[in-house]
Amino acid sequence: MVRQAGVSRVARVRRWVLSRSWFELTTATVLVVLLVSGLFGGLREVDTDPVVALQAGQAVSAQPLQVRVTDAYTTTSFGGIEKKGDTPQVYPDTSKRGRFIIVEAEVENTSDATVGYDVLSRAVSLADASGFFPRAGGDALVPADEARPYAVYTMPEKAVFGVAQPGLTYRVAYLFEQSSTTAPGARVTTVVNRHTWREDSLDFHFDWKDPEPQASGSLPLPARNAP
Amino acid sequence: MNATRQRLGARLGARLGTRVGARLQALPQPRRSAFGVGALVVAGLSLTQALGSLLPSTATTEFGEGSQRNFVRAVSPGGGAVPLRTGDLAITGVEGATTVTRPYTYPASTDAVFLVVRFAWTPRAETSTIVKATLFDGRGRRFTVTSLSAGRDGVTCLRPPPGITADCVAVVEVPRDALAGSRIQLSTNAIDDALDDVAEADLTDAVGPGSLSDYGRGRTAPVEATYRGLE
Repeated sequence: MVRQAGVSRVARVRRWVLSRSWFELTTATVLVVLLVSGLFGGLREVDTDPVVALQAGQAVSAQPLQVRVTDAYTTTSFGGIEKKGDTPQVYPDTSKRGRFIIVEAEVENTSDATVGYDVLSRAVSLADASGFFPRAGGDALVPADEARPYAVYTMPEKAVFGVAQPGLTYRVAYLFEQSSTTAPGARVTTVVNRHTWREDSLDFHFDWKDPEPQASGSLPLPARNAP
Repeated sequence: MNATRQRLGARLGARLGTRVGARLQALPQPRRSAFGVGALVVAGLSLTQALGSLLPSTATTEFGEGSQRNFVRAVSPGGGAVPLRTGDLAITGVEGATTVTRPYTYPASTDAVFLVVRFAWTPRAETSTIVKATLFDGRGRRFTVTSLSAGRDGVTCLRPPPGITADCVAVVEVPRDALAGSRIQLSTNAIDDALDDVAEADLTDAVGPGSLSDYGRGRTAPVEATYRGLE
């Protein structure tokens, strides 16, 4: 009885569908495809570039930059230079709340225009670790993938890495500050992020946006505290 | 007209089904005035498109394009001052260096070249200063520095009151292949150049005619801003 009722319903649906014109069926099919695909971002092409393995010394093309991570280590005091002759003293950055995880890299601007600090500071990040201080300050700790650099310097003069000019390669150091309440790992997952050139939806200004991992790898993390 | 529409409806009805054909035949008959309205709509859209091409476009990659393009005032290195809206600017010197020094900072050296442009800025009626320098090279590349982004390169200029001249420096680190055919723009607004005139200098003569591969090599350029007469 139940089966007969089911068959009857199927037959009614089949008759109803067959009685529709091809125009109505095509329209309904297109609408269903649009509505269903809309739930998953529409029918636009999806960038499925895989995240490649990152190795120390290996150049990674991550638009608009080419990044070669050369070293990673922890220290409590970074970048001090003693006064010598006419050369002024350069004060070190000293972490009072824990330690710095330093990622040294060579960064080349491969685009045809100057790249600013927002892109440069997010070109390198960390992952799979916790206990980092957010860039905005405060005591609330965040995981590594939400941490922003405490500072990014060009070396050896230790100037702020504010801009990268096209065609030039800079030797830089990224400083991430990790709380002393978190034990340092023996390795650190380092990520090189690429950006996308697109228009801002608010002010319609074009810029490099949306950092996404281009390469990721685990690097040894020795401690190199100043003597 | 009506017969044509009926024939078309019948033909389509045969292909698409009688329901669609019947609906086509039931549509109101267009009048001559309707074509006139259509022509006016098309003409209006064309006119709007033509006007739109003349107006500032939100799709451009930079501010200051289209009708909002900069008011560029040409200035010659070593020549006289050029009047901008808020002050007068004169380029007093152009040099190359591979090391730049600033007070209280560690010297910065490069394998490329620092292009150092020295200029004098005199505000006319209100306190203002030069905050942005953009160098365009012959290959279509754009090198921008501001007073805020000053790291290895940047703009160093005090903010004098009206009538007082400040001696300023713009340092742009560029690859050597950017020197040929380069020109530099100096502006008082780092966000939107359209708010003031922009001074532009052709650097071809100032940088050449010697070998560009040796331009500034081994030289050290001090970078310091001061008021004229106080140095």
